[in-house]
Amino acid sequence: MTLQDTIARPEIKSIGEYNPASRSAQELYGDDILMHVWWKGNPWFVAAATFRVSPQMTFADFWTGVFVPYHEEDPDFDAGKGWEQFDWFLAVNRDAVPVGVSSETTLADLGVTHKAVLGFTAA
Amino acid sequence: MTIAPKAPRKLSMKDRYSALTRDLDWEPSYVSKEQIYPLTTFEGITIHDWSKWEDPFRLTVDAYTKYQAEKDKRLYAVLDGFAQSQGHLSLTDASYLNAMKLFIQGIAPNEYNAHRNFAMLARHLEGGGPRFAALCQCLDEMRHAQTEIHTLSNYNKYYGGFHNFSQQHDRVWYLSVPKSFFEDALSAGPFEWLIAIGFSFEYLLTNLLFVPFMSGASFNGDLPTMTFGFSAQSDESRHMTLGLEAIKFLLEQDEKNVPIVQYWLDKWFWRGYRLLALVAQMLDYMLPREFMSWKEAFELYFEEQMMKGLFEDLAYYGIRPPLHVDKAIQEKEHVSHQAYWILYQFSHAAAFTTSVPTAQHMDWLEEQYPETFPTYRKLWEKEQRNIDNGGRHFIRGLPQLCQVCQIPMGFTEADDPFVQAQRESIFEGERYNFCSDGCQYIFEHEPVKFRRAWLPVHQIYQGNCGGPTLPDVLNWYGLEPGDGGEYLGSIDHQNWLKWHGDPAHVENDHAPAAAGAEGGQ
Repeated sequence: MTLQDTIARPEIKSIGEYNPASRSAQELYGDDILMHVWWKGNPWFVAAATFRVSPQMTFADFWTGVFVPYHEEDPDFDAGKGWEQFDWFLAVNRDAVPVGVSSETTLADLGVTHKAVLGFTAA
Repeated sequence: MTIAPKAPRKLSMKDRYSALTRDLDWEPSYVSKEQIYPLTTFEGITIHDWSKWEDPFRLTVDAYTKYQAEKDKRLYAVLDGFAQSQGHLSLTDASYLNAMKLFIQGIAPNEYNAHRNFAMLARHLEGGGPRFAALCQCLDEMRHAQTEIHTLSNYNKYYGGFHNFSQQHDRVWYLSVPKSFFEDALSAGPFEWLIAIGFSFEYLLTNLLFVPFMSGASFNGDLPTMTFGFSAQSDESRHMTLGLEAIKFLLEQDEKNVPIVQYWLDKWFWRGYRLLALVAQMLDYMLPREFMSWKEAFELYFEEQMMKGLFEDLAYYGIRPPLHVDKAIQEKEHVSHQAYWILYQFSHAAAFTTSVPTAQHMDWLEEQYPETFPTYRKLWEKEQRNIDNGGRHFIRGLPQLCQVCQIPMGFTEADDPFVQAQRESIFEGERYNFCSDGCQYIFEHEPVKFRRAWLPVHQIYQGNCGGPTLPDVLNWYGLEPGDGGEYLGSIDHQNWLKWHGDPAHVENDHAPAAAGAEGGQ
């Protein structure tokens, strides 16, 4: 999936050619991507968490294998209530684009691309 | 008749200074100035007359070395006396040294970096005056790196977290914040460096860096660090003057320089301010004996002295206050609490320890931040319940990092101070994440440079940091048992209790048998 640039290349002032590559490009992670998972409005977690995942991972596998082990650190989090306890969205700057999650939906289906932020809040 | 030989004419101090500094300059005859000074044009800065640069140092090399040697003698006498009298036992508490661990890991290596770049300026600036000023500051910075390391080396005999600061500066996640800050400046041109470090860091923000550390030392029984601070104070005053001279010189040389300098001010204010989040949390949370809150320091040293003094003067040149300064002012109520909460949760991967503030300390914080700390207090009370139930909040994963400041993205929105900010830009098909409008603004002006950022979390996931597990990474960081984690019950804490005969001491394998008398090496 090609992302639409939000900024153009500005003029570069340098003493020679200067065009280094990104040190975080998706290609550096094989077939995986980095994704950020953000519990909006819960300060218990100081920041969104970053995970290296396969975009083909189903949401059910993501929930049990990635999400729950991390967020169980919050004593108020009850994994038994399932993912339905949250509203899920993709964060784009200050906007929240809602996404519908289900057990067989893959992260790629949800629109989670490299370094995207998958947010959630209490429903 | 014999004619007596003329007595050698003695130069006045002014003539002597001129002869030993500017008179060493010359006009090239067989190569062009562009060949000799290839770095002074590509940034777009126009200089018409280098002789207009006023050198604030006004010292010759022999006078400079004489003064510095005298200061060094006084400092090293204090260091010797402190070591011989086991002065470390008179600190307020071993946890105080967490502030000094941050200092030696984050600041001392950057003093060395500063010496490197001022050496480059001493070669590459076109005027004799600025070249000599850069040479003096280069020597100052090298001396500061050495004296800081020597000052703190005594603590390395008895306490964790000091033993491997140089390697850790290059590798550990939170030290990528000061490292990337300085290396951004090191890789810029000479004029941007002067605004970045000479002006924004040394003039605009230096009091917010050094006063908290040195006064914190004074209030907590750390005589060596306090003495180092006094020793460096006269140098820092000259550095501030040099920074101010640099910006005025650039602004007076050509009005085309104004927008270039304004962008650098916008950029380096915000970069420096973000770096000072580490100082903010130190001031509010790491000092057992508090003396001033971050909010108070920010109001005095930035809002009063800079916003009401400096920027009113710079308006004459067409310079306005830095962009995003309003956000920094709004954050003064929050930034220290958010920064310490970050370090608290990740201190298992750090070379310092953290702990829940005592009830007394939280009362002090509530007095300083009556509007906002009650909310953070609820977080600490939740954590205390967590600890009482057998937990201790260490994050089980890795945080999202800002592409520019490299701090975990825990800072909040200006208009919603309890929701973390999320910003992103897409450049040449790749998404980049930012903690704030300030960091996003910098990236969007220099995306090619900042996409090269070495973000610790991303590098760990690429397998570049020693291996895939936490012990692998901590080993690669050069951490040893006792360097990080929870302070209460730590090796430093246990040793401290033992050395002071506290009955709460629990014998363990790590305490030197009689460290108060013998120490380790």
